[in-house]
Amino acid sequence: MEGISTKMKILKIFLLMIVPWTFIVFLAPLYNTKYPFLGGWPFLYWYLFLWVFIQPVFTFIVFKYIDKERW
Amino acid sequence: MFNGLDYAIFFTLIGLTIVVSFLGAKWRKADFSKISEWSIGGRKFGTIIVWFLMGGDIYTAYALISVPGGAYGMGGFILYSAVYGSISYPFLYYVAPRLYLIAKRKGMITGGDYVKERFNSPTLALLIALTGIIAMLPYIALQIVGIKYVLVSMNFPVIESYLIAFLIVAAFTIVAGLRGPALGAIIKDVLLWGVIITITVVLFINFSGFSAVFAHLDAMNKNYLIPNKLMLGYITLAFGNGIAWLLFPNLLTGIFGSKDAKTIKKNSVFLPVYQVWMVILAIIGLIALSENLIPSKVSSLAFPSVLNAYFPPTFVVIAFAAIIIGAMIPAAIQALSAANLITRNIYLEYFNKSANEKRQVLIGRIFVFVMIVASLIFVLTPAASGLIFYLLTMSYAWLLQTLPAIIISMYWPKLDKYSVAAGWLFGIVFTTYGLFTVNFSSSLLPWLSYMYVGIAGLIINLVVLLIVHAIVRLLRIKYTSGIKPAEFTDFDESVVGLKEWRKDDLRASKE
Repeated sequence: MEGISTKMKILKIFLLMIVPWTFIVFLAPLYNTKYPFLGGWPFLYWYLFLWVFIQPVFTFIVFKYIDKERW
Repeated sequence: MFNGLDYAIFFTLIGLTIVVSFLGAKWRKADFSKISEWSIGGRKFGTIIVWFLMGGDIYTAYALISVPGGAYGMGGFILYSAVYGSISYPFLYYVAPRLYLIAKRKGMITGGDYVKERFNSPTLALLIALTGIIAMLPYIALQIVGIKYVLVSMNFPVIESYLIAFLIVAAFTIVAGLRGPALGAIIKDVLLWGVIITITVVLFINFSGFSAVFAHLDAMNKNYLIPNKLMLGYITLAFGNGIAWLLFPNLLTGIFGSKDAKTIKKNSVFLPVYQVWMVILAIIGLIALSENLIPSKVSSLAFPSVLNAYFPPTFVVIAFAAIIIGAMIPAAIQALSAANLITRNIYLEYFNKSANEKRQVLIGRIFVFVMIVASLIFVLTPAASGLIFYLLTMSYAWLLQTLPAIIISMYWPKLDKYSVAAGWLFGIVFTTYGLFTVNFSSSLLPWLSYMYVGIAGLIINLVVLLIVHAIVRLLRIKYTSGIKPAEFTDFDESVVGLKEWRKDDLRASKE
């Protein structure tokens, strides 16, 4: 269990920190826009709404395939 | 507007939660004369309870009053609250198992315990404990203020009502320890989920998928995006809060109370979904703006005013009761964690090393009340009568300064106590000074392009830390650690000696 490879460790940091930090936080100047609207929602709102559901998928991938924990 | 029956429902719901939580003391028999039992429920909580406990802890008056209020006052800026949850959980997933496993092995129940052991330094532990305690005050204040705004919108005499509510919370917290809030949190979550889903569905239909809200705001020429001027503030606030979130003493208590590291990981996969509320609550705040529902322009009345405008009084009082329960329970848990810190890391360490467990429990009980009273200081700050979400960001700003001591130290074995302490000092002084420059009305610094004070403090903290560390290494100043690098682990099974520990535990529980 302890012996996850360095490659996997980097992937874990990537999925748990780099990806969410970049797409959800640091790209704010890019996602802070009205267009395109989706169902009447401005981009800013539906983009962040979607990420609420996308981010847990990454954590789940780490849980299941990198840490190899059983649910 | 509300009739007698409505008020009766309101009080019954709140009263019932307290009674059930009270009975919770008998649920899963526990020995409450033992401090570790009283404060973290004997480490026996399973996934579901911890999930509720953590959820009940996170989604509080903050979510229901301050997020819609923030949207009303500052538009899209408030979405930082949804954003920081999405980075705090994966971060928790990464670091918390390591912290939990070392705490479990060494019998630690507070962040201060860990720092003391890691750096062999009771002084540094004291500094960290003090930071945690001070950071709890604005958070507890936020709950009190949240209750205040609910009662204001029900025409109650404010001060009396919320003081009584909090005295009750404190009293049952002491009797039931963590088990009380755990049961109450279940009621709260069921109630809040019911209320929030109902509200969302009704408003979603009313405003044709919320599109009418945005269309209306566009027509009024009101901004619902993040103001460009505040972009740096938004990014630093979201990032800083996401990282600091885990450092909350009450959250650490929740982590240390878990069954195993896997439970923590599982929780951090699921819990971010709660975050959906934040986006929806922000939009609900925008409804108050687009429909001009608050004649007084008091931003914190956004959520109550939307409820009053679109829902029958009976439903409104149920929702109000849910908000108040949602403020009471976390306030109790917060005060409990703070009292825990004071007892373990201050009283025991500096005033009475030989205090027996009975005495420790007594001290803990006294400090639960002290904390609640002390938090009233922050009720008086300008932020409390303005945009109340800033209160929480003040907590995080101070907590961020403990990041090197609690988190970085787990990954950097050579980190020494001198540099951590020096960094902490500069970080705390700067953060406090920064808050003074804005009169505690916000946590963004206009003289630093509206950067979040906590991140500015952390940068200074880390720079000082690196400089002092270089000096310590250069002069070969000796320092020690009570934890060997090999003792840190991220997985349950691989903990050296854990099997023995489990056997001891099993034996102890049979006796």
